[in-house]
Amino acid sequence: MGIVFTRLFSSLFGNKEARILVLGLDNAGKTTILYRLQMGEVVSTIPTIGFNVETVQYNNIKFQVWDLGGQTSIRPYWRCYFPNTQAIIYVVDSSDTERLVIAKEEFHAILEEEELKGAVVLIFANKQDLPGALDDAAVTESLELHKIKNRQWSIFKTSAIKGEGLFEGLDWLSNTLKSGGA
Amino acid sequence: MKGVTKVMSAMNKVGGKHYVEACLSRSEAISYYSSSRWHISDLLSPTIGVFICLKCCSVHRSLGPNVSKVLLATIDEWAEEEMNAMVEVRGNSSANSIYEAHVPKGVKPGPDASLEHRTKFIRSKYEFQEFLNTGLKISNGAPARVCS
Repeated sequence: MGIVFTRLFSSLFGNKEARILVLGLDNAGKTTILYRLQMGEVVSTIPTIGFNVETVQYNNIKFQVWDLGGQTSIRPYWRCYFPNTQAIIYVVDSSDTERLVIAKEEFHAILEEEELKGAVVLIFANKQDLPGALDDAAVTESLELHKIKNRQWSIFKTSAIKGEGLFEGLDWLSNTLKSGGA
Repeated sequence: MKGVTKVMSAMNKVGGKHYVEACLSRSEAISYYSSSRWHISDLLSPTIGVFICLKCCSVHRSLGPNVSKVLLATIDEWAEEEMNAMVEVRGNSSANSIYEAHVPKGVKPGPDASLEHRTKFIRSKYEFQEFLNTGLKISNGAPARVCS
């Protein structure tokens, strides 16, 4: 009876759980974003070998956020984490214009994955605080986001260091997931 | 991976200790000394041509790849020119003789310095290049080279 009631209560008030993967090239800001969302602080980071995972409660959704290391040689291991994923947060260093082509290729390779067919995609055009950072329109073009088919997606300008744009993105994500986007 | 071995062996020829003299102080460098041998930091910046300690790593990563690109010796893929840059600079002491030619006394952070202090110093040293010899300016992508 208790369990039934809890379930009913959850569904009435929209409590949901969602498994989120944070992906992107090395030094895009994935770990900084994870801890900014979870603790509201900027932490000092070293390159992630493996992963960090934290729970972030936001808008009645319990996000289980997996931040996976982005180094070239460990990107092939991302796919081990793909099953049962409701959303991808793809983080781009908007100031690293030289590697935007690689960021684009990795991004479209992820979208091809069968196990991620149902996942919604949130793109963070990060590091807006750095000089020379491209804005969301320019990143949209560089990543060729117009090629995305049959999937809900959105892009936000963010600065993880300053804490800007992240929760706007999470708002979009929670609304999309609640409306049955995944 | 082969490339990394090449970088490491080229550097070992000059002597591990020389390179392990980390960016801040001897006492911090000593923390890499264990099991009766010197351990070289795994974090490097081929843009500048130096080894980086764990504490300074996050500052370097925040500067953007034009100023300092942080690579792991054992995990990352290294381009030929990145390896060459590391070998040419010949270690942190060499790099410091250029980047810290005119550093005022008391400015350099110690091993227990705060993140703020570290950030200020590292930006002054590499991004704004405030401590170089007058007239010298090291441009992006061209690491400091020591004249022999």
